[in-house]
Amino acid sequence: MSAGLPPDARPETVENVPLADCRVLVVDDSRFSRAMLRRLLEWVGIRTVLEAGDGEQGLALLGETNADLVIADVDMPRMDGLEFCRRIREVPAWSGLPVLMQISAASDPAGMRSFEAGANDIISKPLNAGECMARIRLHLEKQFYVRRLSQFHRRLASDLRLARGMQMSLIPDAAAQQALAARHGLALSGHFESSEELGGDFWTLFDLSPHQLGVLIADFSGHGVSAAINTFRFHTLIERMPPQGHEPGVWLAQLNQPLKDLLPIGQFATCFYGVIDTAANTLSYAAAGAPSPLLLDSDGRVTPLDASGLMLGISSAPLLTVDQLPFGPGASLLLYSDALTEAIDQRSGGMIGEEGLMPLAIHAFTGGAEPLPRLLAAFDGVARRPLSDDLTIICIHRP
Amino acid sequence: MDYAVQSTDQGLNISLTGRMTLIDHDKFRAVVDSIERLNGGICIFDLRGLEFIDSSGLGMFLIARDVAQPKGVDIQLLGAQDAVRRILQIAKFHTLFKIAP
Repeated sequence: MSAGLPPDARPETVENVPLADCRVLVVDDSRFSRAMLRRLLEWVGIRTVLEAGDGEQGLALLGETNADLVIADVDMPRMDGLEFCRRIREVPAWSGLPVLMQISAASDPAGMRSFEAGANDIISKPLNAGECMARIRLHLEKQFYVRRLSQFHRRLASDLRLARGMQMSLIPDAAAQQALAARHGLALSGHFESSEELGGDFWTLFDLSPHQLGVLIADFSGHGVSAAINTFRFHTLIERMPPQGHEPGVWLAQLNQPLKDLLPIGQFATCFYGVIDTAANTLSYAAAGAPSPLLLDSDGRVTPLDASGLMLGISSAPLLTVDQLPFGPGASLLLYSDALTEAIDQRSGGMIGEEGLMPLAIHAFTGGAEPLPRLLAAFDGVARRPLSDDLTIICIHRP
Repeated sequence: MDYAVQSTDQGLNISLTGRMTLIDHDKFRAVVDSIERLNGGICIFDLRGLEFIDSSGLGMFLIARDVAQPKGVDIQLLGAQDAVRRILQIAKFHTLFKIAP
C-alpha cells in the first residue's frame, strides 16, 4: 500500500480504457486482410469494426460516422493509403485521429512516406498478430487519454472564465469608479490584471459622506484560485462590516480578526485603506504591509507613504501604520500592488523598485489629465512581460 | 530557491538562496519538517544569499513559526539583503521574529 508515501508520490490510478466502445475503420482492398484485421481487433476487445475497400470509400465512411482509429493499407486502387491519409489530415476535426499504415517492403520500405503523409504509426506486412494488437491498443489508449485531458482542460478553462467574470464584478467598473470620484471632485482610474486567470488582488471605493471617499486596496498572498477565493471571502466580510463610522485603523483592525480566524497559517492580505476628505483637505489612512503609496503634490514632488504593518490575517494583535496627511487641490495619490515595483526592469535586469517607480509616477501625473494610461505606457516601456504577479494600479488626482 | 540545512549545537542553521516564491512551497515543507524534529533551541535562517521573497515566501516563514512555537524553538532571520530586508520591514516581521543583520 502507499501508506509510507507522501501524498504527492502516490501513483495515479490508471483508468481502464473502454476498448469495447471504440470504433475502428479498416481500409484495405484485400478482403482477406480486412477479415484478419477484424479478427485481431476483436481479440483486442473492439466490437465495432467498419470496413472500406479503398481510400475514397474510407473517406466517405469517415464522413458519415466517426472512428477512434483508422488502419489503412498503403497499396489500394482508386485512392491509395498515402493520399487517403493526407486527405484525413486536411480536415481539422480529424487532425488528431490516429492512423496506422500497413506497409510492405515494396510499397514504403522504411515507412517514411507514410509518416510524411501524416500516419501515426506503421505496421509491416505480413502482419505479426501480437505486435499489431499492441500497436492498436497503444494508439487507442493514447487517443483516450488525450481526449480525456483536453475535455478536462476545456472544462477547467470555461470554469475559470466564469470565475474570472465573477471576480471582475467585485471590482467597481470604470464608469462607476469615475462617477463616484467625480461626485467627490476627484479624478480616479483603476487598472486590474491577473497574472493567471484568477488573482489575489482586490480594490474598491466607499462613498462615506458627501466629502469623504474611501479607497481600499488589498493583495492576498499567493495567486491563482486560492488567492482569488480569499478575495471573495474578503468582499463578503466587507459587506458585513462596512467602514462607515470608523477610523481607518479601527476598521482594518476589525477586518483583521475574522481574517485571522478564516485564513490558514501562511495566508494573509496586505492592505491599504485611505479616506480622502475634501472638506478637511486630508488623506487619513491605515496600512498593513502594503507597498508604499506615492503622494504627489502639484509641483510633482513625490512622498512615499509608510504603509508597513503586519498583514491582515496573521495575528490577533494587528500592527498597523496609521497616519494623516494634507491632501489639498493639486494633490495626487498612486496606489498599487507589488507587481508594479517587483516587475523586472528590462534595462537593468533588476526589479523596478520604488526608486524606479517614482520617475514613472512623476511623468504620469505631471503630463496632464489621464495619468493612468501614461503610467501604464511608461511601465510597459521598461517592464518585462508577462508579469509573475497580479497587478492593480489606482490613480487619484484632486484638481 | 535552494536551501541547505545544517545542525548546530543550538539547533539548526538553514541557509536560503535565490528567489523564494510560491513554487517553493513543497521544498519548504522539508525545511519545516526539520524544524518539527527539534525540541527547543534556535533555528537560524541565513538569508544572505536570498535575492527576493514574495508574499508566499513570507507565508512560509509564518508556517515555520507556527511549527516552531509549540516546540519552544526560536526562529531568527539573519543577514537579509536590500530587497528582502525592505520586504521584511514593510511586513513588520521584527514583531514576529528576531531579525538581525
